[in-house]
Amino acid sequence: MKKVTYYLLTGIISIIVIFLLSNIQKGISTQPPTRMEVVLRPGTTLEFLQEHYKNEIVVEDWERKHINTINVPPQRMNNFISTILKFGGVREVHMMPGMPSFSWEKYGNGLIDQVKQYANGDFGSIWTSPTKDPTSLTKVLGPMISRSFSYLLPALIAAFVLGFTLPILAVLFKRLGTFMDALHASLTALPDFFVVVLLQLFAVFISQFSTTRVLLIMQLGDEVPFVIPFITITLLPCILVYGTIRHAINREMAQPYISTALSKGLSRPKTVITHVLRNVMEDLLTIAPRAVTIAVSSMIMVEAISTIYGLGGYLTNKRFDASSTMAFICSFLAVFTIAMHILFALLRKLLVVQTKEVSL
Amino acid sequence: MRKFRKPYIFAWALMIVMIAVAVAGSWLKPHGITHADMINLYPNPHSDKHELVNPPLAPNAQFIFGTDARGYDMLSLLLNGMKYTLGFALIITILRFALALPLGLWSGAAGRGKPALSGLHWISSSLPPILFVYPPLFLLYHAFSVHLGLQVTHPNQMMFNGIFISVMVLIGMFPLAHQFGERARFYNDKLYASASSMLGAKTGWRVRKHILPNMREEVAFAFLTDYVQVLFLMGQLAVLGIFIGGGELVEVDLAEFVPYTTTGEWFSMIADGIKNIRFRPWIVMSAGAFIIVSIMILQYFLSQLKKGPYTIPKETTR
Repeated sequence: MKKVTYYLLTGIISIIVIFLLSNIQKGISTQPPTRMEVVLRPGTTLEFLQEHYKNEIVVEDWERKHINTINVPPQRMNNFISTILKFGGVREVHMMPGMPSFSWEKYGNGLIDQVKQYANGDFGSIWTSPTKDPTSLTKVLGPMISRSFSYLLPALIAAFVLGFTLPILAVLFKRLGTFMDALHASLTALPDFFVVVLLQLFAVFISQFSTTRVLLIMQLGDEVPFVIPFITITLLPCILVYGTIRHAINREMAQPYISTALSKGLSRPKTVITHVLRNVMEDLLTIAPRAVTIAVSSMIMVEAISTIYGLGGYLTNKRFDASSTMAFICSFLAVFTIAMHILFALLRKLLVVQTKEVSL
Repeated sequence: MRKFRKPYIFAWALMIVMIAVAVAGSWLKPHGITHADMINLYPNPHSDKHELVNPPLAPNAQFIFGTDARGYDMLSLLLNGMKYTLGFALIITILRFALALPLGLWSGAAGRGKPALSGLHWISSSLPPILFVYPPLFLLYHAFSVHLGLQVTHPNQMMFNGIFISVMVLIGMFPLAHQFGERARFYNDKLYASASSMLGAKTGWRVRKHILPNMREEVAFAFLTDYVQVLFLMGQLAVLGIFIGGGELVEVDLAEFVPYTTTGEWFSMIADGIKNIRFRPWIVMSAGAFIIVSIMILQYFLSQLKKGPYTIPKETTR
């Protein structure tokens, strides 16, 4: 129970850290802008512009010929923009951001307001369209969770099953083992986002030879892709579990008790299943939390790339302006990951026999 | 006489080539990537008709990886950006080690700080790093208006780059410090280290003379592993639209301005390519391929280092 308490305590600290980091913008204030970028028409140069407005502007960057930065006193910024846009040689004006500054007092007050908001049941809003009113997070949270978990949980199960089964086959069939070890070595270099890219491009490629849709690559209305998120989330945790269990099985196969079992006439498959598997369970339960962490990370990536409106999709899609809901969504994902860690810690306690030396 | 293993030599050759290409990329690039090299119209390489098309251009005989929306050759951008991408990741890794190694060694050798270090390690490694790193970087990215494509030397861009590097260093240093602390504790418990301590040797002396020399290989392996992890995390952030460097605003359509990298930094190209993956797949594919090949070289190098440089002579029975 000590371990579980430790996990709970560090989990609470993690959520507090996420809460603090996700509300960092509350302490930031930006000074009034003093710079603008001007897009000049061909034939107009910055030198010419400065000559025309010599008493009013200071040219900052002489090297950029197309888009140029000039300094303007902040109190005259708005008037100057309307003045300079009338100049024939100026096509566009972009007001440059002022220097940001951070205030601890402002940050602290912002955090207190956020906590009060949570206490009132307001977990933030999501802007789905600039012209529509924001939608409360509580209204979309249920569908978000069911979408994300519709492939996250099956993918996790598949990752553990494959990651545990494939090393057993690898040790029973040597050629298959050599092939899978080489595949494992090359797949460890593959980032999760690239897996999504390859799968999407593959889907686009094969759709050219078919009149019907072969694979859904992004969410369309209520239709949520399954195959691409499932494969992406399964792959990296499976690779991790495979590597760990393969190493653990090889370690056990080198032990004297295995040599004894084999020399006594026990077949290799029976030896592996009867003797080795129970001794690698601890390795599986040790690596399982890390596999869950990787799976959650892959889920966020695939939802971001495939525009799926799940937990990760709402968090990362710029269309929704999730700055007010970021803390809650990140904390939710953190709670899920920590809960899985605690689950595996409890399973380890139940299933793995601990041995200790006792002094007499 | 011991012989060097061929895969070991090959791994070193690959690493040297990768470093050389990164350093000399600006000179190796086949086309320029300045405003003078911008293309507005180009004869369609995929059509028999004499028609002109706007960039971005798909891969063709002249631009083997295609071009971006400005008409800049992708291969030239990638070669030029290689030193920035691998260099930034190297800086982050070095900073992580500069903080984590002394902390871990002190914790292990002095026997202090283990609970705190374990706790910080668990907090930063049990959850996906994206959950800690993405919210503050995303919020600051917009608060500093970096999404407008500021120049590298713009104060807001420089401040954001500094914060990006700091966040990446902090999220990774505690697992490293914990790992080094455990290994330092292991070597500190050895008889020779205990004897040294009993003879009056201070913690610093024991670390320098007894612990660190035994950990050299482990530190080197951990460095390469962590470098790959930094590249992975930077890639994930790039997919979410967060990257360091600077850029320029480019007009891609009437009054539509989009920020683009001026250096060819790989992760900024990933960020751009991901948004247009269905229409311009060559951008994310080429940048992704360069990243994967670099990671594969690093991992192959690491695996060969672990196996050692020499062939193990076969045992002969008489």
